[in-house]
Amino acid sequence: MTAIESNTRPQGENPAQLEFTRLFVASQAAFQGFLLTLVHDRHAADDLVQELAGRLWVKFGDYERSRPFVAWGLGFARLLAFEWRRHQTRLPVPMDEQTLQALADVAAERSMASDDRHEALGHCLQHLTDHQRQVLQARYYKDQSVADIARQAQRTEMAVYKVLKRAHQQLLECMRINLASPTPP
Amino acid sequence: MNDSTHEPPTELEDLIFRSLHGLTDEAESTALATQLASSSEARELFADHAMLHGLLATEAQAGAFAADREAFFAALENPPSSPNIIRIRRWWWLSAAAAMVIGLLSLTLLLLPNNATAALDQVMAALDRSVDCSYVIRVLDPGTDRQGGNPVEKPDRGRFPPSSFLDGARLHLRGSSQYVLEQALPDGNTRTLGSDGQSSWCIRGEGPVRTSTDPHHFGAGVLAGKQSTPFLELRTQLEDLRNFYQLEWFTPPAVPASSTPLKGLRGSRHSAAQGGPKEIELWFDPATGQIHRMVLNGLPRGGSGPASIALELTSTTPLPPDFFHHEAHHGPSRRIEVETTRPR
Repeated sequence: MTAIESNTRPQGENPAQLEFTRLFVASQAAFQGFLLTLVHDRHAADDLVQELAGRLWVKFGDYERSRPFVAWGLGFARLLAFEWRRHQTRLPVPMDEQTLQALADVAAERSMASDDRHEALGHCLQHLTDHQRQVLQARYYKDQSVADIARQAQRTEMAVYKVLKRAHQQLLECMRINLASPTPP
Repeated sequence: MNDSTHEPPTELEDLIFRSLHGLTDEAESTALATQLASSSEARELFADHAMLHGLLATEAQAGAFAADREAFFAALENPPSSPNIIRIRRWWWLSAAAAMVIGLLSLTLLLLPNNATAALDQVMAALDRSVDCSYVIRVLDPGTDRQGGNPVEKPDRGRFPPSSFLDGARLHLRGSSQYVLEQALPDGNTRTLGSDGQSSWCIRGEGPVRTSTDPHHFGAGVLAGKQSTPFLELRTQLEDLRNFYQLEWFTPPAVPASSTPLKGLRGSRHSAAQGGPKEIELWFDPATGQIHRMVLNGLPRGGSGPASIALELTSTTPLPPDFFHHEAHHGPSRRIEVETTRPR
């Protein structure tokens, strides 16, 4: 532990908690994206991230520090997502076990590079228009539905949907360019 | 991540996006599942979008997770169960609330509508009023075809006449959803197509009246190879102008027909990925919001259609009440055919 960590650590917290928090927070976006890829429902993914945190903390004593935390956590996340799907009577996107495994493999691969993506996203968000950022904030920050955003902004749902979709396309395109170049432009 | 760049949005991408926002119906979900099962590219694209969705959701909650570690771990050390999850979620969102308030306050200050967007709102409000306006279409640049030739010289290509034949066409609007477009064709006939907001119709010369219950059905067939016709969807163009273009004011030259000096707004598209004309120029009456002239430069062409057109206001005289129904444009004995697919 560094002197800074030691001096800034609140009293009553143990090092394992601090370490777990640091690792989990750093990996949260990866877990969120991975789970969302498999359960296709944002609120379910939110709940599963919470449940995953609980399971990983219980098992944290078994975690081998030589292994990336994300990779370790993704194994649990995969089981959790599959478990969740088995308990649903109706799934947002129904798919067989083989497809789900293949999708989980792709999602795991993407999740391992989550740090780079997160950094690229921060850069790319700056290139959106104010209005696009405003709609993204309403959708993700305030958790409003497309219909609610349209009603509040006095726009059509189609217009809001188009703003969101174009913002996503621009972000993905920008992130592709960023991730492909050795240094951010 | 998918290696493709600068690709137009695909149906699959649209399906994925709709799915992640909970907007798909059962048939669409099944269609998506089928594509995910059969194509690794589809799975990669899905993962890209889902990861971005997850990153944005996490970004929105940034900082909340570690705000109160004691409460977090107190909850975690109980066996995971629904009530605990709910309690953690509540804590999560409560601890995020302060950050949200600060973020939203900053955002509100940053995003106060400026004069340009307020003016566009006024123009859209004017367009939404059920006032009749008639415009003449001017083709400012017919564009060149894929081989570099001038499409003006090309003969009629089936249902899609060369773009120069759009020049002089008359466009009548009532509100933002009703229109009639009258266009001369190379064979000497006239094509009249329109929509009353509920259905659409098309009459070519003395041929039958083709009708559709889709109000956009025939509008999509005006320009070859296009799914939409920008000047028939002015409301959408204005919304796009407001949302996706870099706006600047300019002073249009004095127009004799207008009693008040017009204001000018010019929008430049931020990125080719956004689609739509590269530049939109709007001349409007600042008192009423009425559009007097609209120029669409750099229209998406795909090898055909005009590159640049202008709409010029010719009249605001009220049109007959039934003008936007097809019955007002043909005799009672004309044959009527109901179409179920988009015209090719």
